[in-house]
Amino acid sequence: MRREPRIVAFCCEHSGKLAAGDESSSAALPDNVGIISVPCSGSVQTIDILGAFRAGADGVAVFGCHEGSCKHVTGNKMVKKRVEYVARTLEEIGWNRERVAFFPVAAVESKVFRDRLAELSENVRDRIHGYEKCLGKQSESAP
Amino acid sequence: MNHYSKTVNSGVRLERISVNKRVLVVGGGMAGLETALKLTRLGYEVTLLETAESPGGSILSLSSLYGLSGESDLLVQSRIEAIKQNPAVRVLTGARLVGVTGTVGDFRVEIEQAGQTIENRCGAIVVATGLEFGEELPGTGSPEKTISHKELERRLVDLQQSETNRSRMPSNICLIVEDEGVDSAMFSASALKNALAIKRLSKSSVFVCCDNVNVAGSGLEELYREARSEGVVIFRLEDMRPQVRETRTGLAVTVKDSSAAAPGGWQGLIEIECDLLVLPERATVPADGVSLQHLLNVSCDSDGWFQENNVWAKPVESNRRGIFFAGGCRGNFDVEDILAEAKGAALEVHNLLRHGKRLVPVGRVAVDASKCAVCLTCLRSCPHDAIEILVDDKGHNKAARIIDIACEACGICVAQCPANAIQMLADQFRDQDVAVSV
Repeated sequence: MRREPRIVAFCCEHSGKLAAGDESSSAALPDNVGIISVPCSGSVQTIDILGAFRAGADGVAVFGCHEGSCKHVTGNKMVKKRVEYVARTLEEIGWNRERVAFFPVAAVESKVFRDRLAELSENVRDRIHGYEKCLGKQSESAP
Repeated sequence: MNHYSKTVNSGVRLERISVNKRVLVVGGGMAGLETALKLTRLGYEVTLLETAESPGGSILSLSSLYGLSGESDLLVQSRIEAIKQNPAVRVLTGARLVGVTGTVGDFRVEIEQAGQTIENRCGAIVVATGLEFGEELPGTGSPEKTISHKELERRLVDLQQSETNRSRMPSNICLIVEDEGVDSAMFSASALKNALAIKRLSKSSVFVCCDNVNVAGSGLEELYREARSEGVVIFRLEDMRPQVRETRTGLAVTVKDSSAAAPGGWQGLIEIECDLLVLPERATVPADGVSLQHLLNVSCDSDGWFQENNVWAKPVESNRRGIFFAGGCRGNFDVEDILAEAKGAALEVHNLLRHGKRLVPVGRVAVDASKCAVCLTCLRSCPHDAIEILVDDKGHNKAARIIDIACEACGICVAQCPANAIQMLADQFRDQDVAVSV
């Protein structure tokens, strides 16, 4: 049976975290998503994103504020560049660049938050099965 | 305090840091005067800077104000008098800010007045530099028949003064409220107010062309009703800009009022013949306001207005702690709003500086001096100007240091530091903790 892709979402305390809601909120998040709250999306480092992949994530989402409404003025712009850099790096090592993405979201956009996560899961799902199939074949052919 | 020590790791402690209780208010217009007055009432000493020879600002050019009793100059004069009699306010006219260093609680400012530079220290800065209306109008070809809203205000003053001027008022006047890049809220109120004033003083017909009559202010809805009942004609434009052409006797303005159109039939095109056309001019940040933005290192929006930190939650704060905005410099133009903002700014200053001490969490973010290469990346990337460079006694740069009183603990410097020398110490945000939660 195909497994669900594991998604790690870095969420800005001022937008993403609030959009995600807490455990009591009506629309619960899918089990395959892990939320990490950060003080500003700008504080998410390249190494954090790569660390998430290393720990077994299949996709990483960074949720920050919309442009122009970052509490820390430039944090969201900075992380956007950083995510772009990670995406490029992933592409260079043969992964799909769509595994990592920055999504602007407002604190009230709970639906947008879930839609974006679903979008990312969908993008990643095909990739990981292709990848694992490929790995499986290799292991069969190995002695 | 207990709550705080629960959420934050033990490396963080709270310290009392002394702050200077003198406040600098830049700009002696309505907002600046009001802020200064409120601050003195709260027990602060205020230095008020005004570039012109006397305080008052651009509100003095208005003929009247809607919704507020008293004429505009009276409103300002009473405040100027109060300021002059107040020993806690030091008014510097013909002065401007030329240098700002330091941080919240201890800003060191340089003020240039009459060729001399005065140094001053203050705990907070309130920017109330106001706005400026450009003289430029969108071209229509007939300069003597086309004037700005500001010019209309001037003529209204004449109109109120003498009977002969009244008979000279053109018989058909058309006011256009919006243009590309001009906010309707800016002129809705003044257009309605002026249309009503013309209607009451002379026998002219007045037409107001407007996309949305912006009545989101106290007393505006009533003003609108009053204007309608006095016979001011209001056209609602939607998709078409008003077309102006010259005729033998005057100007003809073609507007499309979609609410008057019959479905499938008449499109609602109306031609207004008028002798005087009033067009909106662009409101801009004054030139010294622009240089102030660089001087203070505060962010502004795409039109150059001083931007508030967070429009809803923190309406008068800037991205730097200790610097506040009030009034026209934010693109605000409603007198009541401006007064409310001035009060808000004064209260925020009070919140920041009261008791002359401030309780500050120290050590939320720490720099490892042995790793710091003084590359200045953190200094450049910090959105709150909360990083300084320590210098040893030989004048060499030693390491970066976080200024705790200005720091908002956003972690941007932590992420930007190429040497990984900056760490967040709050429990859940340390690198190793982030790795664990992954």
